[in-house]
Amino acid sequence: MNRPAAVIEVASVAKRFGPVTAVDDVSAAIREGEFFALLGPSGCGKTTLLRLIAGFEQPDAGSILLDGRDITRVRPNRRPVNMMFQSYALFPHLTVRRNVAYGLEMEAVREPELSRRVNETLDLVQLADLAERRPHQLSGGQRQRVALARALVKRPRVLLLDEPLAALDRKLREQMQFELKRLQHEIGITFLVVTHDQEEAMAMADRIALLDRGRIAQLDTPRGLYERPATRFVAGFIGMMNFLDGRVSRIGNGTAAIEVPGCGPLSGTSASALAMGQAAVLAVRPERVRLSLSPLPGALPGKVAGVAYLGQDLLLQVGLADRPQPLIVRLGSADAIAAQVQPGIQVWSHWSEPDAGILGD
Amino acid sequence: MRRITGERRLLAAHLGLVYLFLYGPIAVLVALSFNKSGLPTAWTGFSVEWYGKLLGNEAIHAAVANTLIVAVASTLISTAIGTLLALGLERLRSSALLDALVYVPMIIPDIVLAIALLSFFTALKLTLGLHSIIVSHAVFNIAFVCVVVRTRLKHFDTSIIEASIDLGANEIRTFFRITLPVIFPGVLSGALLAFTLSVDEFIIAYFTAGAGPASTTFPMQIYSMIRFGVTPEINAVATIVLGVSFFLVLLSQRLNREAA
Repeated sequence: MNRPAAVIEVASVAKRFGPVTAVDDVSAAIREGEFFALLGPSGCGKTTLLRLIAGFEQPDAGSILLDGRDITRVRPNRRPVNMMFQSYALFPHLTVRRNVAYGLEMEAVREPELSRRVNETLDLVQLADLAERRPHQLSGGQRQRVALARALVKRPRVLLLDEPLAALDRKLREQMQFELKRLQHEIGITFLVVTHDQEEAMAMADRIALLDRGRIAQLDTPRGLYERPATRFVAGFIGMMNFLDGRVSRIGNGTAAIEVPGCGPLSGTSASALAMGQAAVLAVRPERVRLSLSPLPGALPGKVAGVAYLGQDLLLQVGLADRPQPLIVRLGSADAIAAQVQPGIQVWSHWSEPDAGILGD
Repeated sequence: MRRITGERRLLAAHLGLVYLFLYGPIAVLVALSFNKSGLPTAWTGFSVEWYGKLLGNEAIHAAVANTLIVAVASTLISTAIGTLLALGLERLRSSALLDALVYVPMIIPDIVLAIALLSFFTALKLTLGLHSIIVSHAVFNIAFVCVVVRTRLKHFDTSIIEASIDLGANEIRTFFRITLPVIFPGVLSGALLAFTLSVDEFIIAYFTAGAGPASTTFPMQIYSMIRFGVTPEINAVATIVLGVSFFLVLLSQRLNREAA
């Protein structure tokens, strides 16, 4: 394994606020030059973890290492990491140029290097024309770039970004996802971004740590999270997923089957440790479900309950006998069956075994 | 259309009456300060004689100097402490009791505060003088400054403090380079208010001044002069004070507008 060195290592870190455990025994290593995302629903501890790394919070247990050096007790103003705040936190009384220069002034960087670096960074984020403006004279997108420039000018070992795109409108947000990714490639600084938006994390990050109630539910590449979710939480959080509940009836080598009431035994791949008879769930993506208009052995009979036309795709709800939750099926609009499905017709749903996963509850 | 103009006239008349009620007596005072005879009964011609007399009145000079010393000193003390108090209170979890304790000096009757301070100073066996007036004025002014600064802090994004620390500044540099400049308009209008309150405060100064002209403030001096009747000199003094206060009010309003 030729693994790049870790810039930041979080080792068994825990943080409690009164009775609430915000971060619960989290360990992770963030590699040099990667775009790493902390993803999770609100209250999962992702922002607390970011603030622990920035130094605004002190962990109750565990340690934080930067380039192998323990910085757990180092004050935030002495850590070579910089943060881009969700509210941007621009200094309202200073011009764009003075905002960006502030961090260098604190390092006692002198002219002409000071101006050179400020100008360089303003060019990088395309703000050179607005250097003499005050923050209140800028648009949301421009403020975001000032915040970015102000943190980048310090050349941090890691740039921490707290919900960097949350305050932007949808169109600008999609554009900025690519822009952030491009910047990160260009300057080669490690980015650690916190977001609650799974699409944003998937689009930008090299690796994602998905957090659930203060713990890392899964740390993987976007593809790994989507295609090989380790738990029901991960499977449900990332993308759309169908779940069929049952009890484990067979355990094989990397596969398993569960007995689903009304559907019989259903099999799929399995990576987690399962015990016979335990409650488990079969997870299958809507786009992996195939439909047939005539009975097939092993296919689940059902009735189309609803059809939504999404342009490229059709989203179907297929009601299965004895099950309150319909199966969600995504069909390409060009699919041969797509022209024939309409509410009320009988269909048989099936999928290939590797496309389904058996997850412990 | 006609009905609307009628209503507007009525409203204008009402406004005129209100202003007349507020400023009528003041206008009379200003006019009398320029009355040659000095008597409120008859107008005998324009004169600045009383302003000239004022220039020669040593007692008033001394009193004005005392008042300025007290006002400046108590303003400086209360602005520093009041601002820090406001910053500290905003940082704490909000507590109605704590807020009430801070604001009480603003609303308890001056006479009660005056008696309390006098007894306190006596208990400490403190010699009374200008210094005791300064401390006493600081007591209520801290509360006023605190209130004014806190309204400014309501719109203060505390993440800029973290941003400054994140960018390498320590707490002290952050205070002087970020926090103070951002809240400065609030601090300045708090200071102006404190200064104004101190300049015309009478009861507390009267109780805590001790005896003698060395610690007689301007309102106390006017009070002692008025015991022999309202002289035209007092009208002249009042007119000057009026002018200065007007200027200060305009200044503080302008500061607040620019800040908004």
